[in-house]
Amino acid sequence: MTRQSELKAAALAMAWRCHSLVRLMLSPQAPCPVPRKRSAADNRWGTPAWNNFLRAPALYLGTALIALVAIGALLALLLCSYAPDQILPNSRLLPPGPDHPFGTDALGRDLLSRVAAGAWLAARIAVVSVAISLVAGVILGSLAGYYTGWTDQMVSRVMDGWLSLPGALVAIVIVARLGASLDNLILALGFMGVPAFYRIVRNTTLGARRMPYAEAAIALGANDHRVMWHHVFPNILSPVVVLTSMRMGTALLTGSSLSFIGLGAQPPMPEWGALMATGRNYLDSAWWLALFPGLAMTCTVVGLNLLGDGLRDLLDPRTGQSLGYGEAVSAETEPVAARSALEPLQTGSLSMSHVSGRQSGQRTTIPMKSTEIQG
Amino acid sequence: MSWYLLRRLGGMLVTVLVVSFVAYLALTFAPGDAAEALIGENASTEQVAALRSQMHLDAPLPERYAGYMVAAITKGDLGHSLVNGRNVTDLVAERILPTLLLALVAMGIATVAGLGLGVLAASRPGSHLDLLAMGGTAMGLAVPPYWVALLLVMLFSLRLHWLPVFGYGSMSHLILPAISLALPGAAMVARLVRSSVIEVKRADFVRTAAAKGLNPRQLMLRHILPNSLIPALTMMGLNLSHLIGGAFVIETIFAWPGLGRLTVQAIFDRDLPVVMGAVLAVVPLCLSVNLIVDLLHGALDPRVRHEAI
Repeated sequence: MTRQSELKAAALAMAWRCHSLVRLMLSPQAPCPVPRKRSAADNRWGTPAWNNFLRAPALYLGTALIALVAIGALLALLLCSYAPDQILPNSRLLPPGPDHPFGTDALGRDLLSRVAAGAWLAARIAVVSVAISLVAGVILGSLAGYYTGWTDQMVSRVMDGWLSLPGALVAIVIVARLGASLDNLILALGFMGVPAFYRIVRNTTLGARRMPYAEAAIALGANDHRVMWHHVFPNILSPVVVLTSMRMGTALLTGSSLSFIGLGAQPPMPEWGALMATGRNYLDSAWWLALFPGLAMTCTVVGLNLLGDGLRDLLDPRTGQSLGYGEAVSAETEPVAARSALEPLQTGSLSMSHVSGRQSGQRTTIPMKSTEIQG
Repeated sequence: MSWYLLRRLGGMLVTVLVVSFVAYLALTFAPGDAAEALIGENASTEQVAALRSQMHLDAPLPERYAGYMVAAITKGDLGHSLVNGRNVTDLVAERILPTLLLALVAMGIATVAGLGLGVLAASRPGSHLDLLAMGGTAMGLAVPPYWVALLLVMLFSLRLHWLPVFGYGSMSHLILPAISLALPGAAMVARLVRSSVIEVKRADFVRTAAAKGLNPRQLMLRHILPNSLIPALTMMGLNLSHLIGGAFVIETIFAWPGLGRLTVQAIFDRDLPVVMGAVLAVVPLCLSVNLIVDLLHGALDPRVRHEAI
């Protein structure tokens, strides 16, 4: 099979996976991957759609928050009569009012349309930087996890060291090297996120390639490429999807903090961090300049984090259901890595139940290396 | 154990060397070097070249790096700042203490707040209180800390005049930066404590203690809490290394004379020796905190076998 048709098949498999996910979210009769707790709410709100919501409330809340920001920004850009960089000399530093819902800045630019324009910059930062980390992490991780051996050892050591450094420091050095601009910032954030994806892909691939389905494919004569991308990769997609959502929030937070101190997007650009940096100079006279960009930022990142939590609940039934935190997990191979990457917020230690002891509820605690700092 | 320690120390050394080399490489080839930045835009090419050779910026890279590292390791000499000519070792040394102070206080706040919130939430999982606390931690993880810092300054310094806007020197200068820096850590610790308390609650020894008739307070204080604190301890250590390396924005806002602010300022000035000095100070610091945390974890929890990691 040629390389191109393989890529096409992989893309199709990914699209199908996404389609199944959306169907799962929308269909009232969707098969429930998470064993649902019976609650009083069942009787009060017995509708199937509400049941779906109960299954993964975080997913829906997160989607709603992100949609709120996105649709709000779109409407603001369409309906607002001022362009983001349009200077109105007679209306400098106006407080929020009917004409300018978010007020105006020191040059007389409408803050609402600037924050709305910032939403698209935020989307660009989050999507492009995470895409860089995703592609690099998936390729390196798949190869290392599939072939193992000394390449795996070497790449893994490098990634461990990389991960043990504070992410912001890495990004700072990269931006200092390339110069402060939005594109360089995105690149730096992309670099910063590679080890997180590498680790989860490498560790889950390591487990998945020893699974019977992968062995069966090998026994049937499939070559490495086919096994890697058609059998192993589709099966490790769930944690990758969850991590993608989580990393977008991290990328936004780190990116805006670098823009805030002047190492990212430069002033005329309405990036949220840069907007807040301008607002910092008018804290005593114009509170709205710092407030609204931060509010938009918080909404988006809460939405992304909730989306990640919800996706984890939906895609990874092993991690349990109550708010998605702290339930027992069982995994056949490499549980440490699988769990830790699924729960980037809970580094430290993790719990798992033995495969054999699942019914008896026997649990042990497995420590994680502290080199596994998330972003 | 000693073999494990040796291996970890060796790994640390390699990481420090690799990171320092990459940082040296990255910063040396940055467009517009220190000579250009120092001499101004009106200088001729010859003048720039003269200054460059005077500052030894024209030697081959490996030679410069090797010379730099040898001087740094044997004499503790990190070179001189290109901007004001001061000794980088002195500059870094006087900035480390404020950064450590801020990071430690922030970690203390994060620990106390996170523990309280986590135990409170875990006392009745699924209750409104739990939902509220977890909603709070979700917010804490998502708000940009520097934005919170701005809001706190607006409220407590500019409106109420209770605390200074920025600066360094007294307790009151420490409060706002420490709180805004502690926020994400507190949220993380709270989540972790909540989940581990809920889990320890289901353990056999807790059921036995409860069956014995121990009152809930004693049960929580003597059986559940000590056993669920180990993962939280690890988390706090991780936080510390994160706080040391990640405080640059907060330090910039509050004009806190720490390593982060030094680094950011040096980047704007293209002051390579200072940036390198800061990297060489921060990276081993973070790595040793990580190592100490791992050793502590092993000492506290006999189930951890370091050889297995």
